[in-house]
Amino acid sequence: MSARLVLTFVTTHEALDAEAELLSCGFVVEPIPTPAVSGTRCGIAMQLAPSERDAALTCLRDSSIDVADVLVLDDD
Amino acid sequence: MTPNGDGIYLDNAATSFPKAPGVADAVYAALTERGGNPGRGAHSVAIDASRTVHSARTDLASLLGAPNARDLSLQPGCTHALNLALFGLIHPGDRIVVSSMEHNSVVRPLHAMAQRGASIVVVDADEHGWLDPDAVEAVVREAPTRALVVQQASNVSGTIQPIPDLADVAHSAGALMVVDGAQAGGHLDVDLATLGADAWACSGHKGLLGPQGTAVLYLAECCDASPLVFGGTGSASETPTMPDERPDRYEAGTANVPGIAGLGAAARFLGEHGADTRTVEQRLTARAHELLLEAGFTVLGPPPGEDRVPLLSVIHPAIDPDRLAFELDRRFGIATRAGLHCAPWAHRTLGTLATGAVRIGFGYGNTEDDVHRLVAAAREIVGATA
Repeated sequence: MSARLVLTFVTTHEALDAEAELLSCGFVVEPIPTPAVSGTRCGIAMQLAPSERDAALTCLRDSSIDVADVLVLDDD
Repeated sequence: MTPNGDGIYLDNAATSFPKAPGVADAVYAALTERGGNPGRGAHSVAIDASRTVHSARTDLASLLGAPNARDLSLQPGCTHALNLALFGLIHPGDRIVVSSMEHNSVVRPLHAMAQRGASIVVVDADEHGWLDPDAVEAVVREAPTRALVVQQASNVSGTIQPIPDLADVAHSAGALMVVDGAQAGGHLDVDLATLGADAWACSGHKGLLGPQGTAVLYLAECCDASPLVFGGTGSASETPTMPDERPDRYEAGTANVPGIAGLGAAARFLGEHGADTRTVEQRLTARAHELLLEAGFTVLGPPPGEDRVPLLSVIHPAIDPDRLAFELDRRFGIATRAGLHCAPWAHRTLGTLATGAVRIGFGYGNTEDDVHRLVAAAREIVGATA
């Protein structure tokens, strides 16, 4: 599998706020279980293409949605 | 109509009937088509349940004017929500100023706090149930005060308190404004962004037209209440303490997804039709008020023409309230509620502590014909006993 960008959140509410906002910004986003490497977080994370990192973070920042961790994971 | 399809349901101040269109379907769908545990896991079924809770919360925030949906926690009842606000914000030794119109959902927690060292000071409302902000201010300023606690709308008299003015009084003295909005949500056009409440609790199953076992608690961003219940939240699982983040901080344990799904459906209905339902409720209440006065009943609370939530509590010299409610139910199929309505302080203020009253609570499903049948029945009952 190729690299993937994973955004984690402190609460499920925040994660679903983020999903809705990312979708409205036009991103393809998939909710996934939060990777174990992430610390004190809720169980749902959002997965996107790594190339969309900066634009996705801008989209969330514009909506005052806090991202806990920004992870780029490579499962190979 | 009543739940069995016959008669007239006029106990909407206890719990609404019928619920908003879409509520029963939403509850049923949550039970039969979903079933996941929200915030617990990221499989599709759990995410579906999480989305159900998330959309209910955001739709409620929109309906109630909450600036941030995260500040709106979903609770199993308004009493629970008030306990969370009171025990979470008030500490032993604090001074609390409270109105004489409060429900036992406030009176009893405050009594327990008094036993733990809090000082409770009661400000009397007038014979209509209104608080005078100037009188409240004088009491609040007598000593450092942690919180002013006031019911937004009386469950006995329907009296609506001037919450923004009272919040100004509280805040200018450095006190928190805690509001019991149990009878306000849905019946009044609540805007939490401007109301002035630091904490506002509301039943989900009364004016908000949702299922029983649901409620909301708004805590302004500035006010960190200690949690009342501790446990799993689906977040920060490796720490033994409750997370600081909302809403998880106040929502330990598995959520009542069917109830919340129903409450969300009710919020969407009220968001679209709330102005219309309030118009119906107000029109019927005003008409019944007028006709019951003509029939010789004393109606507690504000006089005709003054704002109130859609309920009327009545007494009549010819019959005890319990007997009147019984006769209305058994002879005419009209559901009302007699007694003290869990609010002995309010009844003492209004002069009916010894007898109680019969409370008539209107809902959006009632009609003008219901009002006329109620008044005709009440006239017949008191005429027969006079």
